[in-house]
Amino acid sequence: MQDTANDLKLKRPLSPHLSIYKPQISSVLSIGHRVTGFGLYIATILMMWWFALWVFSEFDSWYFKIFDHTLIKVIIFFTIYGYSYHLSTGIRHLIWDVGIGYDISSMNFSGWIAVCSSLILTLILTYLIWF
Amino acid sequence: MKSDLSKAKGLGSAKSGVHHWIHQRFTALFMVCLTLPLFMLLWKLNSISLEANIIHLLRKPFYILSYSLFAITSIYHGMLGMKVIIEDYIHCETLKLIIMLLLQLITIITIVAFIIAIIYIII
Repeated sequence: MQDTANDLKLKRPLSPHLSIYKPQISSVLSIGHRVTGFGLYIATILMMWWFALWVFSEFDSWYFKIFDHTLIKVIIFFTIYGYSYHLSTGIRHLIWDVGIGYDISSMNFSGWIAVCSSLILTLILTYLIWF
Repeated sequence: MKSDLSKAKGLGSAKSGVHHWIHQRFTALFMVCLTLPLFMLLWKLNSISLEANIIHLLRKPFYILSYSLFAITSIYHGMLGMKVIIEDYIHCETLKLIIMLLLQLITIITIVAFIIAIIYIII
């Protein structure tokens, strides 16, 4: 439905939706998948430009010195978490696309598996990158 | 890429349908397969301190291929996802079109810059 000028003029009230609906494993994981996807797009653009500019600057050492900053470390950590989360919930989506696990109890179970796997993957990747 | 129903009924106002969906799933599956090479690359990079060694590592075909394939597939997958997000939340047609074109332009410029950087490293 398009917001017509008349609707805006009359200021008709809307019944509450997001403010009253109980968050569930289905809805929270779904919006998390979208939000992490958005964040990962930004992160990928930034990462590809970081790499390109590093190469074009004749491999200037500044591009590696920035990793000592706390802010950059925090951003990297959140990117790692976002990637693990998006990967886990994404595989859940791909399994649905094949047609498996559509009933409510399977969906709840796979949802919690996805959350656990995202945390485990985050730990593995943080170890791989920083230690 | 058209479904049989769309061949019979014709395409709707979006002008495309299953093409986007298949590309999104295909790139996702490809990236799931690429996670192991990617983890190997990250593990190998962690043990390297000097930047000259990083360049030397990246010149190996396995590492440069897994890196560039992952990066380009992921930005294409991201562009497809962003298209869905924009379609869902922006209702003004002009703004939707402008933002969509801007995002695609940024994506393409980033991909080209990345490819040129990869070529620069190999040569």
